Amino acid sequence: MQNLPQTEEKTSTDMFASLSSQEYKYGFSTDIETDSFPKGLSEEVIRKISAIKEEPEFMLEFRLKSYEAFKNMVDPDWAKLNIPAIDYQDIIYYSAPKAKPTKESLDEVDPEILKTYEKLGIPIEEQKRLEGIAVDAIFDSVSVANTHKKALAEIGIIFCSISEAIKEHPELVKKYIGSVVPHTDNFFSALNGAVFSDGTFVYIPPNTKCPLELSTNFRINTKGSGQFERTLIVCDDESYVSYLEGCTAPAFDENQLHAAVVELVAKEKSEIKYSTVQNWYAGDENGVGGIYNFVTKRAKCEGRDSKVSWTQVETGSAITWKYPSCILQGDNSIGEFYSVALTNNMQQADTGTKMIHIGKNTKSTIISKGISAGKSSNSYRGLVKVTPNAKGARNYTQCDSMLIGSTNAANTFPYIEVDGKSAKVEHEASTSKISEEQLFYLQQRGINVEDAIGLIISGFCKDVFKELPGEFAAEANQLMSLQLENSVG
Amino acid sequence: MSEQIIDIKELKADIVDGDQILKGLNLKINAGEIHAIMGPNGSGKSTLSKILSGHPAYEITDGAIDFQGKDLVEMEADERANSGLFMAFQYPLEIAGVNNLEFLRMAYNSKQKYLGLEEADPLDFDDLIEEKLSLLNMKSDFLDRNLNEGFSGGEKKKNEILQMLVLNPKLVVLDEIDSGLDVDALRAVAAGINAYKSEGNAVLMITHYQRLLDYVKPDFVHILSGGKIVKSGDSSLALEVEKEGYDLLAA
Amino acid sequence: MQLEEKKKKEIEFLEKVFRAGSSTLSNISPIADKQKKAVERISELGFPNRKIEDWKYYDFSPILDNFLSFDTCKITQIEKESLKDFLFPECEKNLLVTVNGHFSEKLSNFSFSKEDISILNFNDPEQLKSYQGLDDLVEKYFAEGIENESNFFKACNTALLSNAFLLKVKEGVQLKETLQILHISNEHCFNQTRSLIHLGANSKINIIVTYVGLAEIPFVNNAVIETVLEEGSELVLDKIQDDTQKGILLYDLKAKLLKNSRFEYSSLNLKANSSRDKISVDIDEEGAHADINGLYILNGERKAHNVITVNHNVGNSTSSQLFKGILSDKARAEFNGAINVARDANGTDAEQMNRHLVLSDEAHVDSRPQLNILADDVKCAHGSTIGDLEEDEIFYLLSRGIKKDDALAMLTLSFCDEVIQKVKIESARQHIKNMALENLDTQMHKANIVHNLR
Ligand SMILES: Nc1ncnc2c1ncn2[C@@H]1O[C@H](COP(=O)(O)OP(=O)(O)O)[C@@H](O)[C@H]1O
Ligand SMILES: [Mg+2]
Repeated sequence: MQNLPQTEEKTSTDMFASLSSQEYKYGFSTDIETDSFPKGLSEEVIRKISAIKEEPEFMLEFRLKSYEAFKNMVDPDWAKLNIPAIDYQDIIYYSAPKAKPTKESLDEVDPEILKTYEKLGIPIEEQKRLEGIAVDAIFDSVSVANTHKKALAEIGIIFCSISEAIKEHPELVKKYIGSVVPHTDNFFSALNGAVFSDGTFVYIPPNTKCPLELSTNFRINTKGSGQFERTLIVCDDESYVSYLEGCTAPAFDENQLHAAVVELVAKEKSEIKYSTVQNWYAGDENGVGGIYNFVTKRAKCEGRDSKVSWTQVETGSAITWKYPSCILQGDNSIGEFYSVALTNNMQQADTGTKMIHIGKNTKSTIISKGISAGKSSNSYRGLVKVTPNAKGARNYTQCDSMLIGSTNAANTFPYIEVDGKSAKVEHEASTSKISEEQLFYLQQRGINVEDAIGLIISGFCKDVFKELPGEFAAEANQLMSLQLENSVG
Repeated sequence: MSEQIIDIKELKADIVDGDQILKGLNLKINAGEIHAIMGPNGSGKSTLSKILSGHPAYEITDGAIDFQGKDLVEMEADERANSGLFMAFQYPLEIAGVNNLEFLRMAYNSKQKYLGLEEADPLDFDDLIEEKLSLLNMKSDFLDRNLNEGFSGGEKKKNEILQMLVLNPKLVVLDEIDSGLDVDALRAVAAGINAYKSEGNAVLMITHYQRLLDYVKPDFVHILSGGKIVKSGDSSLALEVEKEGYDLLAA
Repeated sequence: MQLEEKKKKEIEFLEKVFRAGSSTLSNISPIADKQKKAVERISELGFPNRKIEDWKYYDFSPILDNFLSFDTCKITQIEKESLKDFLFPECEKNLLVTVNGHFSEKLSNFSFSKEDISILNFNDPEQLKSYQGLDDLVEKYFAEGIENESNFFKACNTALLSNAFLLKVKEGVQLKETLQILHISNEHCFNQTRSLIHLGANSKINIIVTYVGLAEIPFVNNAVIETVLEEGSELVLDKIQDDTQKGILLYDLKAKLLKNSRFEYSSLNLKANSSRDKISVDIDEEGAHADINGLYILNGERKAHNVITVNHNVGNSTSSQLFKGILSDKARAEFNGAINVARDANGTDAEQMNRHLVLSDEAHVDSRPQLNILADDVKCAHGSTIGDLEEDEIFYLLSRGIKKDDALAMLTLSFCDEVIQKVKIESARQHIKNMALENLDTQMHKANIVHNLR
């Protein structure tokens, strides 16, 4: 969202007062040995990361180019966020579990790590056998296990860590990395380009419907480390893939930085469905600790009749800065964005999307549901741009915010820029307090307040939840209730 | 003598930060009885039903409500409901995205839990609902829709009665359940009330019209005016109201 | 424009403002104080640029390109006859006319009782003295908050103040007749007009303000209106912009609403090369209501910018905004409207609607509806639509035997009607309709259809 300019002054610090507590279910750290670099960022660190990973020359060049760009940029300050100054020299840029990860057999994975996943509710052993989902798990910065790989390879699908892809499929990575999010795009993406340590790579060959839901789980474990994963998904002509991303982190009292980049490329008549349930540690009720989630996600609908659909449920992180976007380049291409962003206590979220209509008859749909509780701040920010050539473009946007509890901030900042008469753009937004009349109605039927709120909220979010793959929808509902516990007096 | 269900004594209540609406209301209802309350618009009938069910917009300033030996005033709205008090809203609310069937099951299980009973087996629950639906002449696809969302006036009222039948309360307060109903819907609603009615429970109906009372015959009729019950009688009082209007009666 | 050259022009502009500002310092010290603060603010702000959110879509070159003199704005002789197209019969008896920013006694006309309403140039010590107690009012409300002013051009207007009207309606006075204020420009200059409208408690007045350009020469009209509505008062203010095709209008309206007051405002943009309306409404006490409306019909290469902020500084208040635009040819429009609900302003109910009808391939729209909410018990909504006429509606009319061109004209006009109907005076509504049709002519290429509809 580089070209969204600076807006309103930042939220005032008086918002930072204490509030009711909420427990973070995933707040444990795993006691395993890790290989970490000392803190700090320099060309040397970048060269070292590249060397450890035995990367080809083009990758090192990309990293150095990104670092050069990063050095000339400043943190974006236009979002409605109060971001404490981040010392980028005080971050560990590389941290990997010491036992060398292997993707061939889960038996070789450190049992402590596997236990962690079990606690997270994503036992890989189970998942592996589970029909329908292939899991790649990113622990701190490195991909540790990847199930179902062989089965997928048989039909030409590549699903592996990006480090592996860089070595095994350099031509594909070289072609697409930075093609959607260039290294100069923004401060955080440039940082990611310089130091990313792992991530996921997916390639679906032409005329292939990926038979499994692909899934990655991200977890930050080491204290003081940043996580900079990079995901690249390329869906070739007339293919389909559905990808799920889940995120958790232990509860540390210091903030941790997560600056990921996700690039999606959709070719002719292909479809990518990308779903995220983000539940990074949000900090405690006083705003101490928690993840800074500064993520750049962008899709290019390159081919005609292609489609990309982003679905996100954002309940975690101390600060979220994220705008999964679609560049609708191919004629008749479709972009969708379904989002639920829930903030409680001192959480801050500035999230939304950009839909850039370039091809003819391109369509986009934006459904955003914001829920703010506690003293949190929750903003929707979005851009719908119809360029002169995008004849027949259509957009429908609906942004609703629900307010729960005491004092908080809820903002809606759409930017709509349209050229020409053939476009049709509709935007609606509303903000209101959770309805006391509805709460009373449910209570009169014997349902207690907390359940009643849960029910109303899941109803409010239904249009988004229904876009999530089955078990994720249930999980999302649970997460919401968990996050809202004690938020209503 | 039959069991006492509710005893309202000298009830005075205000709108929070507003006017006094109920100004010393007395009403006693025993098991097996059907009471009807009539009264001019704005006399406080809906207020009474909301106060009984614990709506936060009102506060009780004086008087007492005994509900089966419990002090109703001290109870939260959900607790009152789970103890067996059901109110059919004059204007039932629409709640977006909340599935009707799920909601019914949740309400039912809340009560089971409150009473320390097992939650319903989903299949048994479906059977229970089917039976009630046919009684009300409702189609089952109705359950897949969102709670009252886009329902016609009549469908909303029937849905209230369906909930009543499923939850099987001790006392039901029906606030103008007959308004906005066509003849068939009125019959279905009346059939629902009559099916519910037993020696062990009681009904308090708020209505303006004799036509509901033709189907559900009240044992007592009260006239509420200016926040008090100004006159009580048997079912013939309703006919008098129909003929004379409230003004004459209250005079 | 080259960057260097642009910078040079900006500096030149600032210099001119500073020079002119020092020569226009008022003899009335509270006014002079505000002017000094305005000059300070100008140097703090610097010439605005597109990096500033509120100016993101604004093109400054017409202002900078037209060499404009700040001190030659003279009152020129104008015959009443030449104004007849801009006068409304309903306001014949109550007309206030300014020419290039100067009050014209000859062209003006009042039948209101002096008891009920005071109209004076408050920058004239003699006049101010003759009305008791008005100096307090001026001290309090003239350029209130100038030290934090965000609009550079309002600060300029304050610094360059010459004539400044105070219009005060006495407490409890409810005027039935409408007052027309007509601002005429016919010189190649940078005009500053300024009014302060004060409604005493429980008073009521309807005012229609018209900006008219009489010569086809470029000029900039930098207009500021400040208005204060005391408890229980009601102001209906309609603004018609009827400049020539070369006029550039910068406009700043600020309304302060006190307890239970009601403000109805409609802005009708019919001509002008480019216009920018900055409207800020402050709801400072409970029970107040603001109804803010706008219509802009743009053809050729005309531009209209509407930057609206409605601030609910206290709760239990309501506001509604309705802005509609029709664009043809290469026109551009910006709508930038915010609803701001302050912390604890519970019980706010605010809505905003922005609709654009785009009739050509080359027209461009930027719409930015915004909600900034810091309270938790509120009801706010906004909507924005951009598109051509609805196919279904056209079809419906065709199926009833109406010719296509007529159908298009009818639908377009009905699109405008919602806003036109807000204007209180019949003859003004008719005038607006005629102008609307004239503007639409270029698109419809069918003068006769349009004439049939008149
Ligand atoms: N929440 C409320 N806020 C303000 N006034 C209320 C509220 N509820 C009821 N009232 C007023 O109280 C009076 C009684 O209302 P109600 O109980 O609805 O009458 P009815 O007998 O017609 O059902 C009416 O004057 C009504 O306007
Ligand atoms: Mg009622």
